[in-house]
Amino acid sequence: MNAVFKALADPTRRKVLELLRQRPMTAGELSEHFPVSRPTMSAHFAVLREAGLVEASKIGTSIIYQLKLSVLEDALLGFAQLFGIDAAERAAADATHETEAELIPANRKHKGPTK
Amino acid sequence: MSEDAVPPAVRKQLHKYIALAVAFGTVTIGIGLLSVQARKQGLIDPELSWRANQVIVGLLLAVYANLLPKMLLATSRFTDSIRDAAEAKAAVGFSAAMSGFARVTGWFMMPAGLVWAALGVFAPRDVAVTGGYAALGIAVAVMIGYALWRSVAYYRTWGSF
Repeated sequence: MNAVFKALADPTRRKVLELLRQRPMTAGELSEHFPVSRPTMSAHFAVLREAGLVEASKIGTSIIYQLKLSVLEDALLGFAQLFGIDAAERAAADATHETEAELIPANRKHKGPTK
Repeated sequence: MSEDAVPPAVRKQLHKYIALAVAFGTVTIGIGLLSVQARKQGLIDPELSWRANQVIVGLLLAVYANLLPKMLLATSRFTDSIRDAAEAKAAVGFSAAMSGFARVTGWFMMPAGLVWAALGVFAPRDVAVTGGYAALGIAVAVMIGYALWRSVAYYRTWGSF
């Protein structure tokens, strides 16, 4: 179960699982969706395989990845996506507020009569 | 197809899931026999025995349905027998259909099993029987309907299974 939580903790791996929900895909097709190197994607695929969340089959020269989630793991993925998205938005909103808070006193310093 | 034609990894998975199914069946029958014996010896009353069986059967159904989407082989067509790109595409399409079927079945059967178990604990006997069979009936209807729909869609795309 630790392996499953570790696999679902990373947003890239969650996105891979979301993509595989549409249909099985080759490693190349999956990698096109991410701005990271092939070795990095291979490492992500390895984590997902070890957690038993995807199945890899070699057909010809391609490796096809297919989703292999139980119902509970599917639900966990949904929760992780939901709270992962919320957490990311909150983090972005907090960062924006902090930046504005820093800027406003700085702006007020410069306001005032210029005579 | 002879056993030699089945790739070792697929054969291992098959054996694992067959063993799991046999284990579930054994547990169900074992608990049923135990509760009959306990009732005969006056250790538990018939009502408790019936309810215990309802809960065990419901929970086992829920557990098995939860694992159903994982009991899918890598591709439903054995990769060693694939000869060309067209067959590879058909195999991937078949796997996608099987994967969707297993997912929908799991998502409907698991709550049906939990409803069966919950009604066995809390509801009057007639409500538990009616409600349990209704939940199971809905899950089976959805499963059959989805299987037919995906089968027709696959056949229209690839012309054969």
